[in-house]
Amino acid sequence: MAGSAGALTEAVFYILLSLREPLHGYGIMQNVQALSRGRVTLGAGTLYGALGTLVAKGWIRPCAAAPDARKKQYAITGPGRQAALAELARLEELTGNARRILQEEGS
Amino acid sequence: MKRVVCKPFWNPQSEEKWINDMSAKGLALVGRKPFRHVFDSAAPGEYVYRMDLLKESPAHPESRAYLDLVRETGAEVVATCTRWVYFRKKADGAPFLIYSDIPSQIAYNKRLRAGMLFLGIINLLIGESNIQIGVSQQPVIVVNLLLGIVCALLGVASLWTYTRIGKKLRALKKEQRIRES
Repeated sequence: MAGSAGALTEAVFYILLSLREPLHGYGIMQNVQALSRGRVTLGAGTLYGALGTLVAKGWIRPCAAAPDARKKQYAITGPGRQAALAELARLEELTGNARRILQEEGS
Repeated sequence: MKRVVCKPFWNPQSEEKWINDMSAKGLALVGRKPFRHVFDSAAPGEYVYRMDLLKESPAHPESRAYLDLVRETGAEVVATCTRWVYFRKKADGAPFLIYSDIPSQIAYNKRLRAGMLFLGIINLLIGESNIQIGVSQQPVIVVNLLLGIVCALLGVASLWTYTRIGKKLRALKKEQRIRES
């Protein structure tokens, strides 16, 4: 994962981005699809496994849903936000270098 | 009209392909018991099926939460058999994937492979001890001998599937060096 351990997967990064406000599993899937304009579709098994891993790492936490709601919701934590920001920095470095090198090639 | 097919499978990927082939012919899986698949008539290709191996029993709260999530995506839980679950979704042209990226596909296949190794070793041990019991007396104890041979064959089949899944894992890991989905 991010920082010294390496890059986040696209699925994990989009899950973290989706949890600024508490959201349930299917809501995360729909949000990721909307954010990526249909390019990224999370499989239920992929999402469920990632949620378990992120809870274990302390990057997201389950939170109490409304009393009449059946679906478990999740929210990002402080460490999760830090991980997302570190990944953003990594991606900005990557895209900055790529843009410079590929635009130099094209000119 | 329902139709029951008795066809044993040791390779879940082969089983999933067979179930989808049956669906393409107009036979939709509606139930599953050990060594038996129950089909009902449907429009050819009406459904796409996927199998998954749960980490816990279907009644476990984590499994129930996972199955609820799958249902929210519009898929149905057709059947469960031990820790196997059979999903289906109407074929609408959109891909129906349970594991949509390479890291989660690797994790799933590792789980499958571990299960096959366990089944293979257990069956070989049971098979070997029953064969020993069977041939330890004259005349041979036929029941033990036959049971031993069947278990040994199941053990070999499980270990063969273990190597096939291992091959798939190596291909996924090779792909992961380049991309993640």
